[in-house]
Amino acid sequence: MNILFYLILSSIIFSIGLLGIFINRKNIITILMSIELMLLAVNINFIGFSNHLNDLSGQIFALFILVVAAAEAAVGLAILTIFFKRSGSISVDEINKMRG
Amino acid sequence: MVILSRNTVYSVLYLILSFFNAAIIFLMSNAEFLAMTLIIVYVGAVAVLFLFVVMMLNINVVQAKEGMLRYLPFGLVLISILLIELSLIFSDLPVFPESNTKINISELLNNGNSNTKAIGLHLYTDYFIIFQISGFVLLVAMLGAIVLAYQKNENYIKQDVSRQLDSDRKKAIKLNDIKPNR
Amino acid sequence: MLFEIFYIILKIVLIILPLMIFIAYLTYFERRVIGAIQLRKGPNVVGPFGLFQPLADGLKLLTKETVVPTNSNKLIFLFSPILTFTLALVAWAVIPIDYDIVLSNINVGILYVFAISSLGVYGIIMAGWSSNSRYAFLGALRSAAQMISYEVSIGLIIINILLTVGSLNLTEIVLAQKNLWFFIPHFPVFLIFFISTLAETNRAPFDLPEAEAELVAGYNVEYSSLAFGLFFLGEYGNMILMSSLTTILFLGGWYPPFDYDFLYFIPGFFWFFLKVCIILFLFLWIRATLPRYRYDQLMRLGWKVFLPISLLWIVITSSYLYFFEKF
Repeated sequence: MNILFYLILSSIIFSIGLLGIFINRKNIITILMSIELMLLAVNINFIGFSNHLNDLSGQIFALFILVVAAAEAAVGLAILTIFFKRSGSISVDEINKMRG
Repeated sequence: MVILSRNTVYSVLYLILSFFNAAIIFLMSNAEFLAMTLIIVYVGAVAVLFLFVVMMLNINVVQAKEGMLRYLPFGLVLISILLIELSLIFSDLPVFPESNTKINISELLNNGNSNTKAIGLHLYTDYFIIFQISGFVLLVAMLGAIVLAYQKNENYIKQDVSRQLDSDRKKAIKLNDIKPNR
Repeated sequence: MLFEIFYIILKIVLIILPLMIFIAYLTYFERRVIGAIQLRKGPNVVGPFGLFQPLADGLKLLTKETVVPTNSNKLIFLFSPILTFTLALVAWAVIPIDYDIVLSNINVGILYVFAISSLGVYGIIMAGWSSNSRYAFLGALRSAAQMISYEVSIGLIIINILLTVGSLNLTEIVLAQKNLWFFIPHFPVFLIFFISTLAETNRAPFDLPEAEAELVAGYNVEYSSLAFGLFFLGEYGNMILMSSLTTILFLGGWYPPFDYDFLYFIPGFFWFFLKVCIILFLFLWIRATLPRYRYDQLMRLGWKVFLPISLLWIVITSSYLYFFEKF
């Protein structure tokens, strides 16, 4: 497969994730999901180049990204549930209250 | 669809779908171990977490969506700029030299290693420290999530197994010497 | 090209058709066994010994009306039983029934099975959520939490096996057990694996997701007719899948119990079938005799007992391999 396909696909997914962050000002869960989407785009890029360059490092780095994404999702959702319990909403504007 | 759905549950389901498709793309590009890991970690664990949180929190759908149109034009402009720039980069993509390859896959595979074994061989040797650090990242994340989400609740009865097993007839039954006719 | 596609389809049919018959007769078998254990007769009217009972049940389910609850999420509601059933069948692609009798002998076979079984949560959670019913939703949440918790220990136990074999290929895992079945050196984790598969397939004593007494029927209250039938088939398909996985990982797959030559005259898939049947009988036996667990007990068992033991066993296995074996 051509490397260009991977690049186009990953850039489209990345843009969708970025757009998701912009348009969802009221919903942190969607923002977290958009971040996951962007990480997925990065992963696709890594795998594509790994396949293209015949190099294993890409796959190993993709594995590390997977680890980071899982950790980020766990902590993010934990914060989210706590926040929801405290304030009863998950809007981004409310989170300003967390400022010390 | 992930970002545009009105209902957050739909977004999670679409997210799962895109992860699944990404896993299939990984499979097609000879990264079979990573494809399976992606399904197990993301679809099997992370997305279930998302789904759980979404379903438990039961968010007001209408309220969660207001203000979407306000940011849409700005976002669209930004995204189109990004896409145009990316396509400009892609249009004169340099030809990558194959000789620069650090860990050659086909060499590894020709020596009778499977994809998984090849990853393992390099993960535990060349990238050992990064591997350990990622383990610590996971540990910290786990501790953080538990600390954040744990709250002691005095109102419900907890089963104490060791106490239950420890009790015997002497402790459970108290014999009172009741004298009749008094 | 066309012939190849036809050949593959033929192979798929050859795997799925016996499987469906097996699932159907597993339900019959279950009712007979539990009847026998509880000193009842079980189904014995339809056909000789009631052997046509599964067909009659299937026909009955087919002719009923599919009821879609109002305010339910129709698409997801109808999609989730299909998903459950499909996932129960898809994983069979990598299960080796005999040496070289396997649809696709892929290198990451066991990860594939694990991934498919982790997808199984979605069928249930989507069913519970889309039914728009409190009972179904509670059942689905319980079921999802339970399956994820026990998946962790199953994954860790699988790592033990992988360490001893050194391969993710299911065929190679069986080949490594020619002289010694793994349930002898790995006996503690074999027990844990068996109990975890009970929890993973939502079988008694861990059938809390469908506890009749408290949740009426858990995530499939709202389902009727063929949709319910698909859930049912999916559950039994998962049972057979999990018991064949146990057979492959611990009970030496298609190898006869003793290494005598005359035992090899009996074809391998017969031994495989026999072992699967023994494990399924254990499933039924447990269902007939044990009371249901309480939910907090279930979670405690999963996280505080099984997880530490299987982690400890990984340490033991890997240190044994490091000090006494080839490394």
